[in-house]
Amino acid sequence: MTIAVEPDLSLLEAVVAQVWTAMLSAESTPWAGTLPDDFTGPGARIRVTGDWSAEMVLATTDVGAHSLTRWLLRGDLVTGEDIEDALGEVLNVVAGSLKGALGGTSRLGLPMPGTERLADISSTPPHLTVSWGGEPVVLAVRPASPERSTP
Amino acid sequence: MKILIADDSRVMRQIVLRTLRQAGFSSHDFVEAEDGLDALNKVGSEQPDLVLSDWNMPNMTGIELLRQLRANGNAVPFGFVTSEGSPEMRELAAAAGALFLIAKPFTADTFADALGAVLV
Repeated sequence: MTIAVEPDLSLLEAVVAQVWTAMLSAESTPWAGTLPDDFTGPGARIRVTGDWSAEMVLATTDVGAHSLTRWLLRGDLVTGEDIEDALGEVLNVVAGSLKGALGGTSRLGLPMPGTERLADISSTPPHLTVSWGGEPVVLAVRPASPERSTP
Repeated sequence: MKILIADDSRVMRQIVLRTLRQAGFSSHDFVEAEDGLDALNKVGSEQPDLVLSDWNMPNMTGIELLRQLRANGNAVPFGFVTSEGSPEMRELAAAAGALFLIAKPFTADTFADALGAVLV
């Protein structure tokens, strides 16, 4: 089996489309807006180690995070902990699907919540911004860095 | 019958519950555990008929949970519901005694197929 050790944008798009359909019952349409350069928003990170070593990041707006969490929990009242959980789990499933598509032997870490800056997310490809309920959700793959390790 | 769902994500536990109901298993009782250690304790206290477990969890992973159960002589039917769906993980799961591994994201049909043979 040939192992592709680095995902490209087309693979990331395909995986996100699959997860959006199966997990969120939505199409992963590209977000048509423009994010400000100083954008920061709630998100999550997850590390992958092995044949493919990298860090995946997800970030969205406060409105997007609340909306996504309410939808996943089918409830109106969500806590900050619920939001961290929801964003982390969406990222976990995307990362796992991407890892599976690449092949080889790699392991997922646990998703970690955090606030992400657009400048950091979009610094290296691949990354994409898709829509959820009219809000942007940014997903990116970046090199694993010791500075970004779990505290 | 009683099904124990082990996942450190409350969101995912809710998704699994909804999917089980959509797959036709709404008549069963459900118990939740938030990590492998919690699940190990609840297998003892709740005596489930089936364990559905995530792989990556704090305190005790799913594979550690399964191995500990088997080491304790507990043969409770066990399946993984995990984002770790690689061939390597499936082999590890089967070798440890798991009956199936459902990879995330999943559908109700996937659950119906995997659990249909177990919950008769």
